[in-house]
Amino acid sequence: MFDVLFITTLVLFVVTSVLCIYSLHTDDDRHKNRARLLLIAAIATFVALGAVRFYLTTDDGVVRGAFTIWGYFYLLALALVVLLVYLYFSRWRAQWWSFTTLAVPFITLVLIISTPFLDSARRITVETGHWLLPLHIVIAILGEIFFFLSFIGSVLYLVMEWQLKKKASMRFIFRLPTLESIEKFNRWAIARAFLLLSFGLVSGAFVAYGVFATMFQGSPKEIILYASWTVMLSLFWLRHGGRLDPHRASQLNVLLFVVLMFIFMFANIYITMGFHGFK
Amino acid sequence: MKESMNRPEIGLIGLSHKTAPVDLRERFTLGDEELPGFFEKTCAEGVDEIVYLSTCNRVEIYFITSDMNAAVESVLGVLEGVSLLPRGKFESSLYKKYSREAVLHLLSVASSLDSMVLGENEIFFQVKNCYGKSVRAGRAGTVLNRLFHQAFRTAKRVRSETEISKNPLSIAYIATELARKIFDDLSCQRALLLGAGEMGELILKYFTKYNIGEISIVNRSLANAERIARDVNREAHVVPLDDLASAAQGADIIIASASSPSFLVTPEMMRSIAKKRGSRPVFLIDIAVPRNVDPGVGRLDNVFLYNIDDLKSIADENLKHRLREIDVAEGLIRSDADEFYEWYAGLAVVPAIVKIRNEFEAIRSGELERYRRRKLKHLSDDDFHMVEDLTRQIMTKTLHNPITYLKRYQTKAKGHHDREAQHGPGEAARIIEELFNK
Repeated sequence: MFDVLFITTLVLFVVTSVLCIYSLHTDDDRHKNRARLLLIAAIATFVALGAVRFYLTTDDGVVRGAFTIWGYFYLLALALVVLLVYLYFSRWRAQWWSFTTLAVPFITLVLIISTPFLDSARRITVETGHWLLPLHIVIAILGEIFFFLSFIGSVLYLVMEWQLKKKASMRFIFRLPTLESIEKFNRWAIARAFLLLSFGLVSGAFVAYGVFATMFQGSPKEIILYASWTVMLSLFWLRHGGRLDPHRASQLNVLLFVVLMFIFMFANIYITMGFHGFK
Repeated sequence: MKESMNRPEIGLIGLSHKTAPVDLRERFTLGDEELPGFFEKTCAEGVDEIVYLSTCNRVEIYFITSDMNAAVESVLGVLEGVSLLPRGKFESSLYKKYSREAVLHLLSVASSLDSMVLGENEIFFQVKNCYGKSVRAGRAGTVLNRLFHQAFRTAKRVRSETEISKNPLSIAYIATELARKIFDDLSCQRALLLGAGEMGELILKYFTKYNIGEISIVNRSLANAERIARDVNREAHVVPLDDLASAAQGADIIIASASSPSFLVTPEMMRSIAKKRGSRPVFLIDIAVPRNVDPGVGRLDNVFLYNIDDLKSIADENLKHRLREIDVAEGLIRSDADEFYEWYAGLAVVPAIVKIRNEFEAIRSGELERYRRRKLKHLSDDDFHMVEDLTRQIMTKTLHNPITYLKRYQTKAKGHHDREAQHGPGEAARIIEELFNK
């Protein structure tokens, strides 16, 4: 049952991603409406998939489910889905579809990457039941997702700026939100990402101290993480003070997101050294 | 010219920007107070229904008549009187369309396919307004009411189902739309007009329509700057040209249209302005020739520079896109014209059906009455009603075949728009009418 549901969800997300990008290309309301309907169907099966995995086939629950590789990916995608739903009802509704067309392929990518780990028994080895650990995981994932939203915003800003400088056609420009609103969104998202990742870092350090009696073990991932946080602090400071123009800020944002994604997603799976790894 | 026919026919006489210059078109324009007289004169001689459509690009008269020759003569005669020109002076600029051609033309006009600016929306409201005047004057009847409502439906379909009205074509409008894609809310932005060029003033007027925040006008002659401020009907800071750098610092949108042999806005000036503005973008529209803004300014981050050629190439690109939509729009117009014509063809058989029914009913009730007085005296009221019902049933069943035949003939004509097929139902109706005529 789980396998069938997973394949259905994946197929729905792949088709929705294609239709989302195609609707942006054609600016045809009919494709947009079809993509929206498919997205609702995809989200429904996605939620059902989690329920089956965490409550029917295992007794892990969502947070403990994140201790497995597939569960971690699922939680990442779930957080993004929740934030997309939140954005729809927030002040960013006018820009919602532009962000969603880029976010849906990302969810699809996460699901595709998770496929080899569907039956993986590898888990995070820290299972001490420290009270801060589930909070640390949720906060860190939410921080990642807000950071992802700022990444989408930065990509949109660079595309919009490129189109405006190119001066070729207004047709594509009209499909995107205004340059000013994208920049406002970026600042909004980066502020929240910075705050949540900072909390994630502090709560992680407390968990490490509680379990290993040290806040810092000096593993490569910890070093890259602290370095990234410092860069992010500078980015936040520069961007919010208007000290860095949005073009450079967006380029930095994209670069930093790729680095952090590497750390959070791939390093956890392939560099198993340290307590973040799935062993 | 079309031959006279018994049934009402749709006719159109008009002239547009495609067939006549403006000095000729304006001679046929009527004021609201002249319309009743115009309707009176045309309807006195063979015209049953009439709509007078007048816009800056066309004057068209749509009418319904049972005698096309007389109606055309009547309209042309009235037009002679309106224009004070002999017929020979304007007849070559006129176009005359009948039946389906006239229907297709109105649908194209309302959908803005025949406009000077393809896909503009103004024509829809102009057609609606002119039609409303005829309705209020009691000159639009069953056919023109249906035809114009069909035209409005088609225009809405064309606008929503094609991209013919999307993507602006006017330079001033494109400049405003670009600003609206850079800034969230124009009412919070400050515009600066550099120079007193006509085009610059026009663009500034567009921005005021979107309730632009503050306005500054920088010009050599302060009197000219003040005149522009009066023209756009807004309070504006009038600044001498020497203070351009300080005035530009606070501006989010700069419209440059000054006549100057050298660049007035340089990359150095803009770089220092951009630095002080922080992350706020600047939009420059340089429509002056020779240009006022050094092209190097456009390469700076967060600075967006469009000159007249850039805006014109966007307009050309948008026009190309609109032109590509014409085929789709014409398909919609043809299918809607078919729908209207199907209804219209049905009109031809309605009087025949009514006439046959009335004829039979008169015979039936007459004969029954005669029999009641002579041979059916003994029948009670109830029995007589039974006989009445029986004769009515016999009449209905007898008429069923000829009426079905008429309706079937009309359906067969659907999809065949040649003259013979269109007139088929009318001809069939005429024969059947004659068969039952006394």
